[in-house]
Amino acid sequence: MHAREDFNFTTVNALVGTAPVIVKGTVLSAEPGRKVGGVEDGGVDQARNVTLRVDSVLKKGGYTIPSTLTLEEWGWDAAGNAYQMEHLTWSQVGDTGYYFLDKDVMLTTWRYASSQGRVLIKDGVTKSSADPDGPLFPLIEGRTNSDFYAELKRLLDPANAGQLTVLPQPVPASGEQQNEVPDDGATEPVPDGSTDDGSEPTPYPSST
Amino acid sequence: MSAAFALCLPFTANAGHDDNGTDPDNRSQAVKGFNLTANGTKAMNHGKSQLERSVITTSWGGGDIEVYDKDYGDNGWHGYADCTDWNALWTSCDIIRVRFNQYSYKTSSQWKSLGCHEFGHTADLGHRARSNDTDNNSCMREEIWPLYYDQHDLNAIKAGT
Repeated sequence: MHAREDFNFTTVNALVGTAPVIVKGTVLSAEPGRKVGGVEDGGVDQARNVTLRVDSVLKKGGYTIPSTLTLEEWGWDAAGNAYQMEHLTWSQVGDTGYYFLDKDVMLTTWRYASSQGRVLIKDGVTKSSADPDGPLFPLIEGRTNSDFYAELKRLLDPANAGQLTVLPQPVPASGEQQNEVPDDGATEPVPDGSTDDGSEPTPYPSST
Repeated sequence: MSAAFALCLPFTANAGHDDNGTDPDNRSQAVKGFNLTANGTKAMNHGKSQLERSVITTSWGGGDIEVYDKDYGDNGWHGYADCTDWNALWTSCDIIRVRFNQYSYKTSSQWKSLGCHEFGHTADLGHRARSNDTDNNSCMREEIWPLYYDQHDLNAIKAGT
């Protein structure tokens, strides 16, 4: 699945500065989670709930961090096909690493600050969930755990707080904004004809 | 065998930004929106018109690119594109689903940029970065909101579809 996310981090500094919560944890289990959408929304997708044991808290962003937390991943589509968000592969039981998290404002679950927000430790070496072709990946991938941990500690040292890059958090749209935001003058011809006839979406897998 | 193996695993593409989207099954794509808000319609219309600048021709109708929008909540994304009907080998897609998330506030230009971006994924484009879009004019960037495909994107669609 290819998404435009709230954040596309290009430095470890911005990832650390912007993610509200950073923990080191171990995956205990994973099971199907909540369902979202409906036929009229393109099908019902189902999330995957990962139970993460929190081994240590590096940044808590004002939250109370429990000893285990439920982390939401994606998922399955309406046809039951598994998919992942960008390069963030499904967590496996026993995975250990650093998790850059945010709290879902409406749910009890946690989510990744972005699909780049997981750094697994495999055989003492870091494995990034960032795009291998992107700028963040080479800054993380293949480092020793001790080296990466030292960078996190340095960035999170209160003495260095002024050096952290903190990207602005997205602002939830109000009901009126969701209906329509004012046009800002950018011009583009709008094709003729209605495209919103309210008909049912094509069932899938398609029979055509 | 490869198809069976693919069905067992979460799917994703692993290639460069030029062919890291979803490969459509042809260069004639029908676009259909389902109960869209005004912002979703704006994004869809702009994405379709941008796709028209490429080798892909578009029309209105179901069966190729299907567009939805909703308040999908605080899930960390503005929009995404995925395939709901792969061919037998999972190499190209008959029906590509685009979803726009109404949760986060976006300006009118940002909605259009989002439409351009997600429709770019339907034409097999992946993300661009500052390092390969130094003039900051591709809507396939993630951290800024350009309105259009640049020539690199258009060339990539031609090469990749």
